[in-house]
Amino acid sequence: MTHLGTLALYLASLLAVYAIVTSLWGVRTRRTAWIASGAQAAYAVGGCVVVASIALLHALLTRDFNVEYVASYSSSTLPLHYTVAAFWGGQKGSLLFWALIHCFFSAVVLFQNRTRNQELMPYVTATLMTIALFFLGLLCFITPPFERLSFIPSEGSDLNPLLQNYWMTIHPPALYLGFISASVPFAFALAALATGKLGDVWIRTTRRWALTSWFFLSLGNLLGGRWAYEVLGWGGYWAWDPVENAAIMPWFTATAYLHSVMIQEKKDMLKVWNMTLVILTFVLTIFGTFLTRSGVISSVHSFTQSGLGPYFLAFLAFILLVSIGLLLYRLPDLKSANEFDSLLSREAAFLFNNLILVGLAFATFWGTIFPILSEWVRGVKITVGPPFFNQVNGPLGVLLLFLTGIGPIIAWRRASWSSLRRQFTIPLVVGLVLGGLLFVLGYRNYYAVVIFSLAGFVLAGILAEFSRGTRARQVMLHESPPQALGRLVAKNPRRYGGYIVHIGVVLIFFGVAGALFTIEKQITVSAEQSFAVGRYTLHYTGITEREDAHIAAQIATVRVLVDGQQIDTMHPEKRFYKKQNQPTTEVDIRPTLVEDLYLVLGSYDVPSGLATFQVFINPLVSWIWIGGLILILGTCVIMAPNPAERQAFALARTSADIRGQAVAE
Amino acid sequence: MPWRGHRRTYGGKPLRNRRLFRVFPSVWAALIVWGFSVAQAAPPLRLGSGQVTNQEMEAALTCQCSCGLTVHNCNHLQCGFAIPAKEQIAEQLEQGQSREAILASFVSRYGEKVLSAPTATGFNLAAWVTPFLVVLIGAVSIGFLARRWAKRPSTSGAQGLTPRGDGRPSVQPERSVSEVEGYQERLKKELETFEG
Repeated sequence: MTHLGTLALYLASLLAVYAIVTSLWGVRTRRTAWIASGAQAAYAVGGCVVVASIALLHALLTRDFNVEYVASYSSSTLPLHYTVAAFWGGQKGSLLFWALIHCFFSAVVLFQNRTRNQELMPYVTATLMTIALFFLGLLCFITPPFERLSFIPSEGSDLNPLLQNYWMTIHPPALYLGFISASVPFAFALAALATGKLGDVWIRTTRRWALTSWFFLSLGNLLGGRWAYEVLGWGGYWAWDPVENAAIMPWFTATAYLHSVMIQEKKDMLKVWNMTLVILTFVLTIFGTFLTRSGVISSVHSFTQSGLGPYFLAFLAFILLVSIGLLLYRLPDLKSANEFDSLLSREAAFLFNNLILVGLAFATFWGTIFPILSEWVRGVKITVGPPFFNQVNGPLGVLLLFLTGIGPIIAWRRASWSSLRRQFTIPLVVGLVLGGLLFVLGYRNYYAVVIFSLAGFVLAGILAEFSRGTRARQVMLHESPPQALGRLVAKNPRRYGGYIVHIGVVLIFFGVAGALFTIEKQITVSAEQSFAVGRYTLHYTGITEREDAHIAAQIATVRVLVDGQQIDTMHPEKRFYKKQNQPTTEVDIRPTLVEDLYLVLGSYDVPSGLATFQVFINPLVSWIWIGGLILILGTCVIMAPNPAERQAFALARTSADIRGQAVAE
Repeated sequence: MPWRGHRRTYGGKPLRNRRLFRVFPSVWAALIVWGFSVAQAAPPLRLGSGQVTNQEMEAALTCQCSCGLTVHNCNHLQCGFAIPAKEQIAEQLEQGQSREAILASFVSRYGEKVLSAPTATGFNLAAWVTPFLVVLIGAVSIGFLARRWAKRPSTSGAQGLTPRGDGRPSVQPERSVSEVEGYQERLKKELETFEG
């Protein structure tokens, strides 16, 4: 089966080359047969990668330890779901997984556009297959996943214990889906540049893909945060680790694009900027992959050091060269109408929103690569850690939150003072009252007070918009409030879905601000001893032990009391993974909407019976996950079928056709 | 003598809606506040000695056990680096040593990489200043472009229907979407009544 997998990868590489050549040759010779053949070859590439993926999964599930990858990332006692997750748990498998998803997305794009965008599609096929070829080339010649050992080990080394977690099973695929789907807008952007079809069509064709990419990037980052919170055991969810930074950077630029593209759709402006953002987002996904796999930076998330760095750098250089070259070539054709009336307008708010988001992406990029620069320039190793990112990105985040309250509400073109008064009085009053109330209640952490006030300001603005729209429908159409609200959202899912996403973002900010009030304590106690943390009294009753073929665990039992009343019992664990010979901590979290009680069993000394606990009281953390869910719900609403959007798309395509015909005549 | 309001011009055209450009100072102010907060937070530029807590000191140092976290956050409770480092910090703070002195003692022993954020001196200053400069340049560029793109406000009453030059109507300026939707629904209802 593994030989079949290897063969499939080689065949896929050859077919990808064929697809690129025939697609471009078809354009050059104006022969549609070649273009169609290229598209068919692209489907075949996908088929071959599916065969290779099945071969690797088969090797994992049948515990074929003669395959180096299987021996390195699984074991005979690894549970089934983690054995499947081992597919993307290691370097080689994750590259194959990347190729698999990429080919699947390519096939979907080709199928969706089998009768549409005929001028763009050959270039889209060529671009997508070039990306596929890069990954296939790595799999064939640099990191072959089916490489066999010279002997058959009796047992595998097992999957890294940190990856043996539910969230880790779904976090990497979500992030990969986000990274990889960014290649579709990129391919269409390059196709638009190559063909000169720079109107609305490519933007509208890829709108859902851009949203899909953003959706999965958001999901991937949230799940990654959740994984870190549950597994790493330091009480936090985001440490500005280089690999975390690699995942958040394309999210920043993709978010900027989703906002600025609205200006292009509405006012035919910012064509060059939007093109740049699409290219930048894709480049950052490849840069992120480079960071994770090159070994240039150390991270708890990165794969083992490999020789992949130079290949990724070369590919990055190639992408940048082609993209910037095409962009410069088409620059005269990308001139926009650029009508701008006032800085008190939605356009201006979106421009500043873009500035902040790209600023965040740049600051994160700069902080991530600065240690490398320092080593090059001064020969001195330095660390750029959380304090740097918190100090630089924190205030930018607050500005972004402020703009979240402005952008969706302020009028397009020019807002008059009367409309500003009408739309912003309630949010401003809510924000100021909230801030004042917090101050009066004794909160002197000004950062937190500002964030909570802004959260109130933004939420009030959004809820007022929902209320106004619902009331209008109630009055005009005599609908009941739930009916009016439902139809309001259904009639304009893009606008109201966007509001829902913003509610999610505000709640995430709210939850993040809670970290400013974290309480923590480390204590060593013996059985039947109690200790106090915040409003809780924790009573440690003792340790029980559990062992199976895979894990040996020490499980503490801790009773949680408030005001003398027991409210819960918690069981933090210390595990020892036998195959990897590695201890881990399994935290126990008691989440509420107000705060999480986060309990870590650090160590247990058998002779003395002393157990060391690290306890955190993390206020408002649950709101991050609730906000994440709302953000995902909002994105689903935005992506819901929208007849008005379809009509606008048809209009854009027709006008593009008319313009094309006029040029031809 | 020209009217005072017409004195400021751009490209020969008067800027009539310059009042609206007054929003700029607030943007500059926000950027300055941001830059100031960053500068104040950067370790060597920290203003005032104040009372430094153990937690602040532990957060200013990176754990060398390869966890990638700060000494304060290291998730290895029996860490060979974080635990002695925390004890050393506590001891030095008790002796009344300053933040700078404590950090210097760690740097002399482990090198600059032990600091969790770059110092704001020499080449490392670029780490702190560059993001600020980039955002500042971006803000200036937006301001410049906005002024360049700014056109005279439409004098026609039907602002929202000003054509964009490509045959499509421009966006509605001041009416909120709920209002527009209200009008649309009303139009639809009346049309239905008319057709019915």
